[in-house]
Amino acid sequence: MEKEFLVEIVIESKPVLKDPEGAVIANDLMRRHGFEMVNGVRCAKLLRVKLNATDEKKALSIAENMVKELRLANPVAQTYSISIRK
Amino acid sequence: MPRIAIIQFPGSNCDMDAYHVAREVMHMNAELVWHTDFKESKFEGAILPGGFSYGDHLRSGIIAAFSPAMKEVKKMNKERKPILGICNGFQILAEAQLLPGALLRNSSMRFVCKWISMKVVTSRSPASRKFAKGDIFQAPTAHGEGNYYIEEEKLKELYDNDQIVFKYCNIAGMETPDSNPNGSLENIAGVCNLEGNVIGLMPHPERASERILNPFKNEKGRIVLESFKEYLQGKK
Repeated sequence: MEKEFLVEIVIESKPVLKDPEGAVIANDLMRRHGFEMVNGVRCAKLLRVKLNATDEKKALSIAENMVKELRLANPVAQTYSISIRK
Repeated sequence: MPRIAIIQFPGSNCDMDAYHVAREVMHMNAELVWHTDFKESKFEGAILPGGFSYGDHLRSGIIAAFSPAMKEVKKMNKERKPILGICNGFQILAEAQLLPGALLRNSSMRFVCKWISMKVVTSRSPASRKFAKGDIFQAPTAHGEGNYYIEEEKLKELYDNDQIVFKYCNIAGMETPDSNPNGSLENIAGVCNLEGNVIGLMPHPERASERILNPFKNEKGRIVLESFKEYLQGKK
């Protein structure tokens, strides 16, 4: 029996790349306004995907294949992570 | 005269500029072709124009890279026909892996719309063969994601294989940080594939091809299209 899973795909720049948006949020918003404990921010893109699968493992593998086949993350410059949202 | 296609994707908006210059200025046999109608066998070359295909969603060029037209463009590449991508066309070619590297968000995080200078690094591409190495010319840029990036080891390959075609520079030809509009690695503005038949660049030579449109009062952008025309005609 298939059921619907909510899969979250987070796509972000490789750590070697600068993230000017994250740096401004960390330095000019958080650290400047009382949250000096913040050491850094990286901005990412979140895709919340609803898909049908028989189980969690299958849902994750579908998402993994999709990221690779459709290049949802550009391997030149980005990394990704996939999880199931309960 | 060889036929070339100017491929229109949903959201292309420099298609008419490219068409105008190709036909009216360069007297090339150019046709506008909708991306789902494009058949490579009818054409000797293709231009992928600028714009915001599919609203730049996810990443500029990624959705168009999966268009049926790109399967045809890949066949065209196998036959080593010339393919020129301008701005969003460059982004599409990179996302389709016909060109190396990636175009990231501008380092300023802003859309950049201004005239820049660039210099010719190699004249081996179909878009630069009528230039001499080191020639400097100006063209407008208009993009939010033009920040060229490639992994360090691949960058070395680009140099070794003479694949860097254009670099941003100042008016004197120096590659300075100030002359780099988007944070591109090593001031790279345009690259070609290993074989040299596919070329992409972020600036818009088609908008610098007529004196009346050019604040520098020249028409050197036209040399990009003259090069392309000469390559199509098979001149050595």
